[in-house]
Amino acid sequence: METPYLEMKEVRHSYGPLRVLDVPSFSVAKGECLVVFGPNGSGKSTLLRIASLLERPGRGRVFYRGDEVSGRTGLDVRRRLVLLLQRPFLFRGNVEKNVVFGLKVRGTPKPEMRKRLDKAARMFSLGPLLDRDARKLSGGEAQRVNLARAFILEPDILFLDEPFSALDAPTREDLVHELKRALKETGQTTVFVTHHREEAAFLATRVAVLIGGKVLQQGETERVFASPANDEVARLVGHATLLKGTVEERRGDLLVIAHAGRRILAAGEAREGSEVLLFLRPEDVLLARRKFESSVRNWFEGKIVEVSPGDRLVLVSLDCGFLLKARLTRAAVDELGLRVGETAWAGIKASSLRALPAGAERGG
Amino acid sequence: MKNSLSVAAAVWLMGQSLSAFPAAAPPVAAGDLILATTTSLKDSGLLDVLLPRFEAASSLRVKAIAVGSGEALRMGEQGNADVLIVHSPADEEKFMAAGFGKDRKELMTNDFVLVGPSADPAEVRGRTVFDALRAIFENGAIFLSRSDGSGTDKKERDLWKLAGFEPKGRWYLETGQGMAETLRIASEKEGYTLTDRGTFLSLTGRLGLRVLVEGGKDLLNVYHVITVNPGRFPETNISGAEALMNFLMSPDVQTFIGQFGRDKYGAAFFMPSSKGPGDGPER
Amino acid sequence: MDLIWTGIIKAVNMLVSLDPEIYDIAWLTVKITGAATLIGLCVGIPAGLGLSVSRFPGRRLIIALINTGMGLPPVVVGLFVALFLWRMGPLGSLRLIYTPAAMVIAQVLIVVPIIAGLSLAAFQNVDPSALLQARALGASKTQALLVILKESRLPQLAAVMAGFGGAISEVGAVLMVGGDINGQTRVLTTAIVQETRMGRFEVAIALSLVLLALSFAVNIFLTCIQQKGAQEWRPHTWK
Repeated sequence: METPYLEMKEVRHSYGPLRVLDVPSFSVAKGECLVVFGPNGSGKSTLLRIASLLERPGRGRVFYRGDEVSGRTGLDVRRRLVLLLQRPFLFRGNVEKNVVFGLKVRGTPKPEMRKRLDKAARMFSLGPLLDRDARKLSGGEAQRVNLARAFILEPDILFLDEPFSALDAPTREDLVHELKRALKETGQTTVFVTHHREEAAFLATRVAVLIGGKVLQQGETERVFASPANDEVARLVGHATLLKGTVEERRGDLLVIAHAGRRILAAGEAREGSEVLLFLRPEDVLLARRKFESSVRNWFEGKIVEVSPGDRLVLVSLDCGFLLKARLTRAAVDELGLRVGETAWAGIKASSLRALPAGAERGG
Repeated sequence: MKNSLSVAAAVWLMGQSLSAFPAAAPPVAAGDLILATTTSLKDSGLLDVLLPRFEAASSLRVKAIAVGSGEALRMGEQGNADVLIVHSPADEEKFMAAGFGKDRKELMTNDFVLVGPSADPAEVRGRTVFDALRAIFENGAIFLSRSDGSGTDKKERDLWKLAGFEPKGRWYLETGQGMAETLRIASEKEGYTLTDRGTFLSLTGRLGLRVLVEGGKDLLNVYHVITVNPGRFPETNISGAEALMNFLMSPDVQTFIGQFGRDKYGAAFFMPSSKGPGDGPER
Repeated sequence: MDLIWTGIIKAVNMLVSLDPEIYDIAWLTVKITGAATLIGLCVGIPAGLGLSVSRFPGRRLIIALINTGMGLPPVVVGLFVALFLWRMGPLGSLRLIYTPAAMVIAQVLIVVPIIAGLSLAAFQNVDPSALLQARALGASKTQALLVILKESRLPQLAAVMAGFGGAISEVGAVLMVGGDINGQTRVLTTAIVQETRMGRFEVAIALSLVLLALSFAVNIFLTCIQQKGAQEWRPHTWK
């Protein structure tokens, strides 16, 4: 197995009395786009600063390409890792000066600088901006310059701390796509921090969920999103708590759960008789006017209580004795003629319903 | 381009500025002579003419520091000067008695005058200085005193003492400043003050004051030149000090002193103490 | 009013006819204040920079001392320097009293706290994230400090102008340690005092005009550097 580019072992970090990071194991492999996903205040920025060798962890060891990082590690090693802070701090001067800043401090010869500048400018469409005063740019333009000045350095790992969180939705979308294109073109290993679900899903090859300073789950994006390890992670990745029930029976990979007189089939592992929480993503709910035979094992009838507006995706809330939210396209809603007050059937596959032990242990 | 120009300018300027420093401080004051003297002498402009001549004739550089007579004597007592020109005879005698000075020679004299507003509210014109002071005291007329420990100030206090009065009250204003400033204030406030004739002459036309009392031995102002005692302060540039003393006492210079101010102000500022080839009386 | 007017006219005459005495005095002023300001720069700006990024016990005390130093009366500085440099003082053997060098020393002591104090405030005003981002892009500690320097250029230059202004306008210190010796340590400020006392107002006014012109020239130069690229846009508002 190839040595990971970066590895952190038993890292703990506190600010004064506050413990902000508690990570027994964390690694970044070459070529991947690892998204560190977590709510505000979960320690993501601290993790980035330590991983990019900008800050020393209170306890623990950090390895870069197999070599342990210590006080003796030279600047040239640190220079192979680049971190962009949340807000783009552009320096005085024009855009060109800002983009080549990193190359200048590394003493890059002029011809090489020119070559890389052209490449970065093309990658992020900076042509007309190069002469502009860096302080007079719009939010989106500033962020493109910010990305350019990082990519131009072709670092071993690029760390991005929520670069798009301060931008409006359309700019954000454009930049996410531009970033993905750039990542594809360069194969740049990236660690990307965000608390935005769609961004994470779109960019990541691998996801690490960081909550309260701890990595609660790591793995391939789809697996983490579909199969959260516990309820905290589940909530974070977009599962809406459904209900609490008791395990009646185990049938292979599935569980039969009793809830309010109903029998629900869900995926998961739990002891018979134990209490579980059922998690579900709104995207996984099928809505229909009538129940029909299919691989869908769970059907709930309910009254539509809310149809929340959206331009493309709509959230429909059903009262089935419990609140069930389904996400559909507007087109589907119109086609089915779903309106508040009407009854509808919600179908959920057993595999989409995750059962997690109630009071599940926090941990990996 | 613009950047390198500014850098070059700054470097050149720095080079020029640093030439203000001596390459290394000279070990002995071979060429330096510190002369402590009074502000009134400096203000008269006499030194501005004499010292360059002296410097040209000798290889010395004179640093003439103008402070009050009192402070000049203090500098001598601390060995911070080589030669003094002061006009405070009583204090000078104490200075010599205590062994701080080597030689003391009378350089020149001028006189003090009592000046005041033309209106002369206290009617002091033509009186003796003591009668004038009495009149001022009894009338409570505004009087300005330098009160700065200078020779002039000492003289003023002595005169009050001899007249038998202790000046105090709202009419007695103490400026704490030099002669020219004090005269200016006196002019503004239309008050009386004691001044050396030289400073008063140099400010003619700019003051609204007149000479009201003059003459008499009580108003005589005597300047002495004193060399500091090298026995007390080995660093003293005694050869330079004596050279200056001899220069000042030389017949040519003495004659010049007698002429100084005549062409500009119509009257000479000072009267030289020595006329012949021999030196003036030592005291 | 007459006096002022005749004074000014005579002064302009003297200036135009390139009176050597005035220009010698002016040149010495430039050299002394220039040297003091340059030394003040070289000491004050690194001091301000160092203080802004370091943490050590007693740091607050030092900053308080610097801030006090900004308001030091020049005449007090002059007195203390003179006490040291007088022949019988502890440094008397250096024979620096009544020389331009002594005047530079006194002015340096006046200028350094001003530049250091204002410089420190300028550096502390730079967003600390800027420093962090510079390092995150690979800047060494020194390179990052240079970034802070460039980011705070505007208030830095104000600091230099304040230091220069403090030096060129003071008379107490240079008088005490220099002695206002004609041809050796006479600068514009001490000359103005002396000429005024002697009643030669035209000369005093001429010297004052030269002093003002000098100060203005230096400040125009520094202001242009300072304001280059400064925020020039102002919103149109309703009254």
